[in-house]
Amino acid sequence: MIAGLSIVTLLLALAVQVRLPALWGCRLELLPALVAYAALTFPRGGALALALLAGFLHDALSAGPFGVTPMVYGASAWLIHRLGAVLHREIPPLQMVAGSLVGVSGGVAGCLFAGFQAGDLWKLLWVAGTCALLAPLLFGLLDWGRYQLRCLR
Amino acid sequence: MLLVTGWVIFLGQPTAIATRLRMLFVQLATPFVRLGDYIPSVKSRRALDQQNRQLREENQNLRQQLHALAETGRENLRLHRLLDLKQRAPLRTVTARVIGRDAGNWWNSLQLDRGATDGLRPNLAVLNADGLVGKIIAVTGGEARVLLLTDPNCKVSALVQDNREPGIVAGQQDDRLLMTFVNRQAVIAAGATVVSSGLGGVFPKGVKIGTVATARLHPATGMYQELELKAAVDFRRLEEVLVVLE
Repeated sequence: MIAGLSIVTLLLALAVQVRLPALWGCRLELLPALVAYAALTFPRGGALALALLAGFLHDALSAGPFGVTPMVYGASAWLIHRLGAVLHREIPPLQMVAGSLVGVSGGVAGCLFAGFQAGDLWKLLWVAGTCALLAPLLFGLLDWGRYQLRCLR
Repeated sequence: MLLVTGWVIFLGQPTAIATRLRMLFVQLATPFVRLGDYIPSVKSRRALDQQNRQLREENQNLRQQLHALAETGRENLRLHRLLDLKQRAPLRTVTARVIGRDAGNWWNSLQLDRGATDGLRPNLAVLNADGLVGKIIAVTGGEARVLLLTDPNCKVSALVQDNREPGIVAGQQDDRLLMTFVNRQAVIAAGATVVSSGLGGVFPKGVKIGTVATARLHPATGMYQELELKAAVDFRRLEEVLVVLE
């Protein structure tokens, strides 16, 4: 059930991401914060699976080469999961760094394949900042949701 | 290490495998993207939206025909002595609605609500009443992805409409377009219209791309001119487009 809900959450976040208008030419990315949440919450297999799924879905709704984003999301999730074993996931700055890391890794991969353009540094900073801000919000919301599900059982 | 190697090999696979996999994930995600059409606040004015859409489609078709006629008129002035010239057939188009944008920040693309079942296939030109929008790069059964003109990877062979100077137009992000490889001795006035040249077989001839904002010699070599263009299309507000079927 958790797996199914996770997948639905991922799909809904992606649907919102592609419908939201861009601000100053930059899109709001929700998937990196979700990948960071999965990496710090679920066992390694589940976290990696969700990261790969998020990456594949992102590339399916993008003009970029198919397969790049799951690679970087998977690598970021693996790294965050390893670090999460020694760091406390409840600390908001850690959540922000995790979200930012996933977002920037996707951004750098995007720049490498799309070619660096003027303004890409600003976009990378935007992605890093927004993913960092979104991560604690999503952590709070999803932790609350998981707690409610446990109470229902 | 094995995983990374396997992934690198995957990325280098023939497009057929990646395409099939991509189609699977697109079909998984698209129903959720289309959920945005059924939000209650939109539902309450759906009838008005439908009428608005129909009127806008009709308006787009008429404006595009008008622009095509102006270009055809110019061509006729130059070619009226060639009596054996074939008549240009009107463009066969299908209207599609934009249902989503690119999921990331590094490419400029749109998702349309028409796909292979409506006759769409890769490398079809996409335009609207104002001008050239881009080209289709991927298609599934019920949706298509359009690479916008503002993406640096989308390049169009173009002409300055008045003096027919050729060049290549490519996107520069932030909705800016740059026309390069223009003859360094050509006299290009600000405000001159740039249209597609029809070379390459993807984009039809004579579709408006934009107007010249500034012209300068290439800063590094000075061998050709670069024209910064103001795009004819407002890429941030695209809602319906026309896909040229032939």
